Amino acid sequence: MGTSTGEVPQRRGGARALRWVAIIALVAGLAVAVALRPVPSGSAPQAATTSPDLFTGFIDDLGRPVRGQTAGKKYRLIEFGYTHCPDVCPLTLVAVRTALRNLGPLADRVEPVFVTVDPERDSVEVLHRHVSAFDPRIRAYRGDQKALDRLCTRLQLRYWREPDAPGSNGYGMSHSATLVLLRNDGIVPERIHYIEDPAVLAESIVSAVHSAESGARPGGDSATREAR
Amino acid sequence: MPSLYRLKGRSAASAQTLIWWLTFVTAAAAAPPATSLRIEQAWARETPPGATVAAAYLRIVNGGAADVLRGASTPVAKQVELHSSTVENGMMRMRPMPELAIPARQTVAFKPGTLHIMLIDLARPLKAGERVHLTLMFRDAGPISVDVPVRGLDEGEPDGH
Repeated sequence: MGTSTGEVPQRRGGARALRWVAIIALVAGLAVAVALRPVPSGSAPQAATTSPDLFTGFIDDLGRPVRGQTAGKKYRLIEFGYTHCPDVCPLTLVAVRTALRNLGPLADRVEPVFVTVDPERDSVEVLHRHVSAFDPRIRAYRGDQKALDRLCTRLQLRYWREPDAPGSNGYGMSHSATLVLLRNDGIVPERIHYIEDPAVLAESIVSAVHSAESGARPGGDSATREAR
Repeated sequence: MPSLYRLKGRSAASAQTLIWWLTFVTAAAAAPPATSLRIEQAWARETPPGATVAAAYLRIVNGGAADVLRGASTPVAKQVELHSSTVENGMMRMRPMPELAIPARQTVAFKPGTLHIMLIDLARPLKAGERVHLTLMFRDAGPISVDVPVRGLDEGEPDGH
């Protein structure tokens, strides 16, 4: 190591080391840049969830294929549910209706969507009658399991069919207790947790739309994440 | 008829006593059994057109010993089930319950978002303002019937919850 012949190699080694330092610095710089880039996380707007095929396989309650972007609207407010649910799903639809009324002119920017997690029992006609009873502005989407699963992955939502209980007529569906505000560009600026009181849930929806519009990040109360 | 004439002929007074006695016994048998259960604040939610299911809510106030709610029935639905809605790990879960314990000296409340009485296969939609008959079946207290007012979609829970 410490021999006289080591001088030249050492100098050559120094140049090599410099080159390595430069490469390492470059890599490190890139890594820092990547690390500092906004990433999808709990409170930050999530990365693009739409590609054109986000709603491929879905039909709306008027029988039209669902397109990636809503016509003339800026957001979709996605609610999972099913019409054989007499309790929580109607409550949520009441909250959505109240929110539409309380949003004023902002309501024109939001298309509320009731996505059925029970396509087996929810036909397009059944869905249309159901959501129309709450507000004609509420749409319903029906897709097969493949379409639903794709949407679930993108929006970080879940659903499953509960096992049939002995003596029970029919079955229950369980699904994420979360409403997702989805912007047309595929960003999810807000997630709204289900709250039992429809009036309070409506307020939560209204404030989520206001936050999304102002671009302000709320403290995180209204924009709660899907629990893992 | 001949026997009645004979009876009447023998003693009108004793026949009258017998009738009074029969009336009393019949009335006693028809009256609900003495129970410490009270049903309060019953209501059901109006259903959207075409709906085949509905939810009813109420409070069971138990002033006495523990009992068990085993089920219910109504003329407006083929089947009635007790259901729970619970949020668990971000999931809204819907599950039927075969029966529900009514602990001694406690109140069990069916409330939106927690417990509901699910009416399945409705004979017709439920309209706001009408009343539907609901009979709850208890293990010890037997059947208890209530008239359940139907409330509009926007009305929500009755006051005083």
